Amino acid sequence: MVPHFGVEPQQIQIRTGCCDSMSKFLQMVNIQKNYGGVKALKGVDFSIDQAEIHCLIGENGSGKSTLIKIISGDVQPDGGEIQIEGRHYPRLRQIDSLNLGIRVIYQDFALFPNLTVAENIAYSQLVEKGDRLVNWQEIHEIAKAATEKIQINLDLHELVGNLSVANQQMVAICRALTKDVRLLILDEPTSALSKVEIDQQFKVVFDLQSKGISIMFVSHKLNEVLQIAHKVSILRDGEMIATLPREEVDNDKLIQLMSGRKITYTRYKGPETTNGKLLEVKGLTKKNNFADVSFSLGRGEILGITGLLGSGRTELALALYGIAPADRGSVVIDGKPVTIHSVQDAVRAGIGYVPEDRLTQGLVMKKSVRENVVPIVIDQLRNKLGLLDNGEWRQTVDHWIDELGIKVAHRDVEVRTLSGGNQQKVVLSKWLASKPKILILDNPTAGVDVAAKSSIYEVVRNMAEQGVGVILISDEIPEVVNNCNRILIMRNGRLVEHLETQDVTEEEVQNLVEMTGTQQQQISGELR
Amino acid sequence: MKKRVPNLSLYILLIAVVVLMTVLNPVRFPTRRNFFSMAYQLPFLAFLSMGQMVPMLAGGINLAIIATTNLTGIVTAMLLSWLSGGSSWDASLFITLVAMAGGVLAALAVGALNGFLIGHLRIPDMLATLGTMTLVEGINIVLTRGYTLTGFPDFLIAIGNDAWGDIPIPFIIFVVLTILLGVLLNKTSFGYSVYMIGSNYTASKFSAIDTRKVIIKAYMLSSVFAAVTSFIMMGQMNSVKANYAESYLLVSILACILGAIDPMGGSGRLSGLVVSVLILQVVSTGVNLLRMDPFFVRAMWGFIVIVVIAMNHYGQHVKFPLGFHRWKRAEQSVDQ
Repeated sequence: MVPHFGVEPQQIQIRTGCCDSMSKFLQMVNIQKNYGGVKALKGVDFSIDQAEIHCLIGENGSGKSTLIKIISGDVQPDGGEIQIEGRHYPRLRQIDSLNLGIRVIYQDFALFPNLTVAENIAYSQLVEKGDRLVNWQEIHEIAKAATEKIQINLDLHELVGNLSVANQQMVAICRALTKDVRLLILDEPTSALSKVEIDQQFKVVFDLQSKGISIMFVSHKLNEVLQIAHKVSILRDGEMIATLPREEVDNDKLIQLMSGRKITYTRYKGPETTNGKLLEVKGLTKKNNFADVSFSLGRGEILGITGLLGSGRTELALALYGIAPADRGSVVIDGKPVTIHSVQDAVRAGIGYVPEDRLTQGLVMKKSVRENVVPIVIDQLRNKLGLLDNGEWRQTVDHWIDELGIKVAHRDVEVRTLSGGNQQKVVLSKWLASKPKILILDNPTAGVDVAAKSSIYEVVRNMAEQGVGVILISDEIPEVVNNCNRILIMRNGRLVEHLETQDVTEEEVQNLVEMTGTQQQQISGELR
Repeated sequence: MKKRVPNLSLYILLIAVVVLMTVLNPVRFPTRRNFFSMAYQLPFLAFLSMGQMVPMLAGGINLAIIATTNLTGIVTAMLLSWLSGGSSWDASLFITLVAMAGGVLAALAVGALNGFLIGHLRIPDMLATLGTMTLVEGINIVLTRGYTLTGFPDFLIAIGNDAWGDIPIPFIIFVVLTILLGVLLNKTSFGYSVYMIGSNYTASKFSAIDTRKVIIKAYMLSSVFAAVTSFIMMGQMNSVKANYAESYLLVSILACILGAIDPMGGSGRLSGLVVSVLILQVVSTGVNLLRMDPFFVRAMWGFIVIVVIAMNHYGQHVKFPLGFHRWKRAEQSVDQ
């Protein structure tokens, strides 16, 4: 079968700024979608031209996912019009979307890790054919054709589970290419990739675009958006704020449009006294996770740790918190060596941890605010008989609701129903109540709106001012640069940089984080 | 926040079955004698169900509960016989208590093993307790060589059969243990932890709840209820055997489900379970009084549970069952 992409060659030249309705591949007008009482999309207009790279940006909860799901036919809008290649679709179903050549590559790729590359690529086509017997030769032919299309070299016999994230993504793209594709939607495609891998991915994206395929690139990494986009659309709170050609936007403008306000970070100045080391970590090692990590933390200091996904930063936090203890190395708190084999050990030593994944690790979603604030201090809420004192319990919870300004109708409301920012404040109050010496925060502002973000920073800074040592792990470079005294950068399981924030700019840190190539390979070689 | 009576439908159902049985059998059902006999029978199912409820709240299940019950009885009976030199029906109170303590210890050992397998080794609860169930059943048969052991001292017989005034001893034990379990679940950090672990094991672990300790305790508590069941059974039947009451394993789970204990863990009230057991008992006694085939009782129980669960789903999810998954999905997307 000869692959074709259904576009005449002259259209390849189209890049930006054309508004001729003939070249519109997809046009959506006044799209609305409600979930229960929540308005996910409030009358959104959106369109994609043929052979265009269109970036969609927006904060978490702004409606990006819902918009993708409507285009892919997974979700039916409550109102609005969808027109694809000039035809109206009053009800766009999944099967219509597929037949029109729309493919979505989700963040998790939806691959089968226990099957080979070839099987994964050929899978959907084979299912569609409906043969009862497996033809291995055909599988390999399909897979080979797809990989050649984007000129990528993959071992077709390798299990997908053994591939790097970048290559898994390539497999997902190949799978999408086994049929005629007109619009490829990439959902947060670069979140786990290094610089080199991102460049390779961009090459593939440009290549596909030059073959006439429209690309919808959904991301929140603005530097990448600026690098790749022809047009940028900005969603905020379910509304389409603007659709602008690349030439008319820059980083600051995008941030402003995305958040609805300018974030003005004020830099955190730590305590003057750096004597009195609170925490000292020496040679901490966990096989296949991180190696030889040493650093120290002072009272009232906020120490930032950053690095790419998979650099070992979360694993380091989990080791210090006793969830996945380290194999070797020493931890000294207040001059006393401590062994951390379990969470209970860590909490006893005064370490708290705000996990990255609030939904499954941070909170018990089905339970109320009342129940989620107290797990660490529950034993302090007992009366003389040793039974839980409901009065004191309520007081404690109300105190923290008040103190952190958690917006909730009543303490008995399930935390599930709270906004991201308020949920995160519940997690913080859980730890504040326990008065830790050291608090580790892992991406504490993920999925939190701007207003809540700054109030979370305020809480963290207040804690530090009261003498708590804070470790702030984050993806967001501005977050660490502006809130921390010092920054450690991790790469491939090692601490590779140690910076004083007063000496560096955000760009410098960003470059150091994404630095890869030979240097990275060299380091990973050492690790083995 | 809507304030509504929890498990209201269960209370209504209880009244409905009582009324129904009274109407069907006005001569024999609403009599003092009948309620007295129900009060004798009720604790047996109630204790087994409570023993099932605690692990279920913690997100697990205890398939070994009947095997543990029989083990307690067998160990107690054998100790009685051994300590009293063969005349166990004549054993002194002291010897009886020692033998019973031995039985309880055996039960606790099984509970600790269950808790260890599930809490420490993270073996799925169903597999772990299936294993211990089979193991203990085997031990029970080896110990008894398949025979029935009979002849117990007055104290044990009294536990099962005597009454204090008009109230049967088993029922008094039932009231006391219900109150104790209620306090344990609602007023202690152990109970709090059980509900938290059952709702979300990972988040509980990240919140410094000692999941291992709590899970072991939960299964040991389950064993305590198995042991109490065993003593009531010994008293009422005056015998123990390796495979008594095997059919009650699934009934104990059914009672929990009828009592709105979430089989996925984390939610459910003791009051709901108690009402559920009352419903099952009224149905069972009522059907027996009508001199219907006793197996009809089971069919009735099953029917009631199906109706209640179907009604609950229908009530919660407004839309028709076919639209159910769609409703769920919409909810999940909002969560994100």
